[in-house]
Amino acid sequence: MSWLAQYFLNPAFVLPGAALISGPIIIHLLSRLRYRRIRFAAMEFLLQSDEMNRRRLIIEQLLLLLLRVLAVALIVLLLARLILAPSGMLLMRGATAHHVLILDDTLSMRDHDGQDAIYASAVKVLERMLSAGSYRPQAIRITVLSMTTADRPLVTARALDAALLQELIPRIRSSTCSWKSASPVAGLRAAAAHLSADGGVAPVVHVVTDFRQSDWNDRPEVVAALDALGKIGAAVNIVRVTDQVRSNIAIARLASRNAATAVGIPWRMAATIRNFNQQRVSGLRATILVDGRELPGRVQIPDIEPESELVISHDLSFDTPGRHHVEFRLDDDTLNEDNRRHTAVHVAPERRVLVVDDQGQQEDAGFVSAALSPDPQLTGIVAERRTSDILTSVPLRPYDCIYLMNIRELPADAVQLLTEYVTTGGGIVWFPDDQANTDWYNTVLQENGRELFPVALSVVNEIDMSGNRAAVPAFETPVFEDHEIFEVFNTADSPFSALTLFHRWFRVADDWEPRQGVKILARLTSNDPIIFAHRLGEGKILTFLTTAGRRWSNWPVPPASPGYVVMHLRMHLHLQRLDMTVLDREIGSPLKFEWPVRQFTDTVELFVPEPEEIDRRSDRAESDGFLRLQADPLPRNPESRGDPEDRLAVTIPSADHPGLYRVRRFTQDGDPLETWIARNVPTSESQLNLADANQLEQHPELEHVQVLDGDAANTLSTADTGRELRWVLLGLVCVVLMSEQLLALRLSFHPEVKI
Amino acid sequence: MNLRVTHDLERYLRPEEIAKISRLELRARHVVEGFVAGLHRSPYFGQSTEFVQHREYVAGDDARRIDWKVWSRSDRYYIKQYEEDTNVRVVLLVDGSESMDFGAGPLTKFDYARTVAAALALLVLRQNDSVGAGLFDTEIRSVIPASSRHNHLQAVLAGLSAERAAGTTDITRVLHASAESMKHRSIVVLISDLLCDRDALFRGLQLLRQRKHEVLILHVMDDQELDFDYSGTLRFEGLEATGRLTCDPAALRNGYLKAMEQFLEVVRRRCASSVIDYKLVRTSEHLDAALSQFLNFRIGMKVK
Repeated sequence: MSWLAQYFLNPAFVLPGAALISGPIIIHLLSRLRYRRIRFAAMEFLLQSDEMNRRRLIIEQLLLLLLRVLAVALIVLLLARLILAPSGMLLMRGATAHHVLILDDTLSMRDHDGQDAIYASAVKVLERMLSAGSYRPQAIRITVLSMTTADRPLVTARALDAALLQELIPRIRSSTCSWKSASPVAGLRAAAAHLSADGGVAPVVHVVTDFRQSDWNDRPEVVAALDALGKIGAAVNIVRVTDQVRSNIAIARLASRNAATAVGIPWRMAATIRNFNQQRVSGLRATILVDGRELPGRVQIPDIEPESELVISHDLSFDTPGRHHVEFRLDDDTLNEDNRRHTAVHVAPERRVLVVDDQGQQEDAGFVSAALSPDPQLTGIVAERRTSDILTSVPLRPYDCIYLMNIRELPADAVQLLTEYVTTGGGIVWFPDDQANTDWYNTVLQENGRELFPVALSVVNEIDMSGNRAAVPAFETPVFEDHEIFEVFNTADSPFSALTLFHRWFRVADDWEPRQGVKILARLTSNDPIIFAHRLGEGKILTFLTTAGRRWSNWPVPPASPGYVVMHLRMHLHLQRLDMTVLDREIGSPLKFEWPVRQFTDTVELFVPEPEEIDRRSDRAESDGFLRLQADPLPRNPESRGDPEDRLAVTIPSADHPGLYRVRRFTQDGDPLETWIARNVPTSESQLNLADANQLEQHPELEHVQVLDGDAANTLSTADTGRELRWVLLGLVCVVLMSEQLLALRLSFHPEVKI
Repeated sequence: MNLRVTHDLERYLRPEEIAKISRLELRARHVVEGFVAGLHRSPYFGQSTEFVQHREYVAGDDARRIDWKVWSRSDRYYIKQYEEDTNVRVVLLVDGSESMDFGAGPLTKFDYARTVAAALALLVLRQNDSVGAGLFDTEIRSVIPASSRHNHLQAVLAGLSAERAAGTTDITRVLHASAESMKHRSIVVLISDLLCDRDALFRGLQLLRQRKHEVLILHVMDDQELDFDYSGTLRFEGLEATGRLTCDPAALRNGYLKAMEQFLEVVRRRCASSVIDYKLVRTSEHLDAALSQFLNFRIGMKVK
């Protein structure tokens, strides 16, 4: 009997009501059976009258009976609350309304008013809507999906009956708000896909959301998605679960120049704090946690102007080598999740730099080593001076970067290893001198796929200094592009650029055209380019067309040497191999790893941080969850010729809450290698300004969209599927009852009032 | 006049009715006697010599019949009355068929008819006229020959004292039998609801008229028969096996009243054409009022 519910709000009334319809008939029959007996003399006149009137009486009585039955039926329909859909004929054919309920579970729904998060009220609104709709099973099919996982609906096009409600409500109640950011577009498009796949129904889309400005206003793609829903005839109700604009402060970024440092060496991180308030914020303080332990002392944060950002730099140094988890935490506010940010840093006992110098005395290498590592305790860098033989005899991977100075020519295997080193993230810097085999530089080093050298070398240009000793030779000074390495030269009133004097350098071949990706970082005053940067694979390459020592310039010696030292330290940071074992990833992007079969086995161990609730301060390590995963082989791409190896891949599940994830993989020898991934909430959800409903509702193409408050949306799921015919039925009942009375009067069933 | 009040008398002539009737006495006497004396001088006058009683002289009596001996003794005028010395014979024919056993009020038509008959008998006897009575249904159930004896009322009442009305009306037969049995000119008062074959009825009445009898009809009808004021679903069961009908009477009322009106109209018209006095009485009407109207009506006839 559940099919009744698609037509009635109170289907329970229908069957008893249908029984009531037989009431007038039964009463009529009973009145025929229950009569008074009268013995009567003048029967002949009565029979005469009966004969004359019989046909008329029968017709009139049937009509009266019909009217009474109709009146009862109409009253029953009125009580059972008959519903007819706007497309009434569709409903008559048994079609139902398909409601797609989209629950916004983006990070901003975690906004709370001190007690409950908005998400909890959204869940309540959703529950109320579902409960209201469940009174009419079969009349409503529902699809429930959340905004962040629009491709995986909770239920798809199922009839909303008591059983489904019983199943669904606990699932919705136990669901948690995600930490992700998501545009409504995905949900709306998914809704459109569900609705257009389900033809012949009255489609309605409800979006239960906090209706933030950043999601809904001035978003052409949202308007387009809403418009697409309108084109398939769907009504869209945006159910707003909050109407309060809240102030929020968020850590927009937590960055460091690199994710690696050495023991005891200050590691600088920069936290960007954004004030989303309309008022200036002052007195803010931050806490820093390293490996879950709060550092003593709190960071005072200066006042932040409304709608502006502030970058706080803070130096940390680590006593122990290894990886460390760093968390930067602001005081709690309305949205706590964006007040914490995680990162990880790889602390090595020392940073190693390979300085290869093929010049006999290795004087240049001495200057560079001295610049990088006057004392390992100061810079944390250990510079190893070697000749080019080392390139083929030791693994290059442990070195942050490699200086290649005064190289005449390298054997092919060394070039191959260098290429590999660079493409996997290593950095090299060239300082060729006049021993260089320019042909080798110009050909072998520039072959396709191994462009280790950016330019075609020509001849060495030399400023004549043999002439008049009294006259100052026309030295060339460098002019640097704006680049972090050369920051010290480009700051205002910096003397170092003018103090650096070149008298020999390689000229670039006249016909050289810069390849794509090759940037000139500095030129001499004669406009000869002298420093180049380009990338190969994941690595960076710097090229100087001069030597690192003092044979061709005065750079390493006073008065130019301070600039030289700073430049090399910066170069080290710039070229430093990215530590691929420490990653920063925003929540929302899939956490996926891929590697060649020979590198690691297919066993992956995963340490997942438990989602941290607001007031919990438990030890992180204890609360971490452990998962063992199996990597799947990737299907080999027949078109890729470059990588003939089989590869394995694994996607980390349940990596959707913020915190530090540790992935452990094993080499073929069984040695573990950990990769630490800091997952942080997206900053796009921190702007809590509410959207302007009028902008959507008054959009000429969005007439089917209405924005409602949560309280008003309680009965939407039913009211929208059909128009209740209450007033029509009431009118009909009145008309039928009046007709019945008139007819009854006409049939003289009412005794006349005798005055 | 002393009347021995019997059980039957009490039954049909309740004291209050008698009191009312008594008030009518003078008028009734005047009317009856005047009309008898003037119009219906008995053709059999003086045939009997059997003395019955003395009666006080009233204006209009034949002065030859004054008993002078009595006058000489008492100085009052009395008339000697003899057995056959009557001006008029009144025959009361009371319908005792089943249809008369209907009555929505306290009295059935039968009761009412018998009461009227008793009252008329009393009136007639009081003025020393002779009265006979007959109760009939299919046939005459009981016949009380006409007599003017004082105690004749007893006999009349006894003759009318059937327990209840029963049987069907066969009016032709009854009227024929009456016509045959009545040797003298009589005033025949038919007290009936006339729910019988009208043609047969009027043939019978015609016969009486042809035998020079005066015919009066007291048409006794119940209020409900005339007004048909029923409501609710009812099952009408016809008396005298005239069929049955379950109906809503309100719906049939108009048709019924129309048919009833037609019936009354036919009866009235045929009575008029046959020179038969006709009076419709309702059982709800008071007896005195009915008689008064009846007698007034007779006066009206007389004046004309």
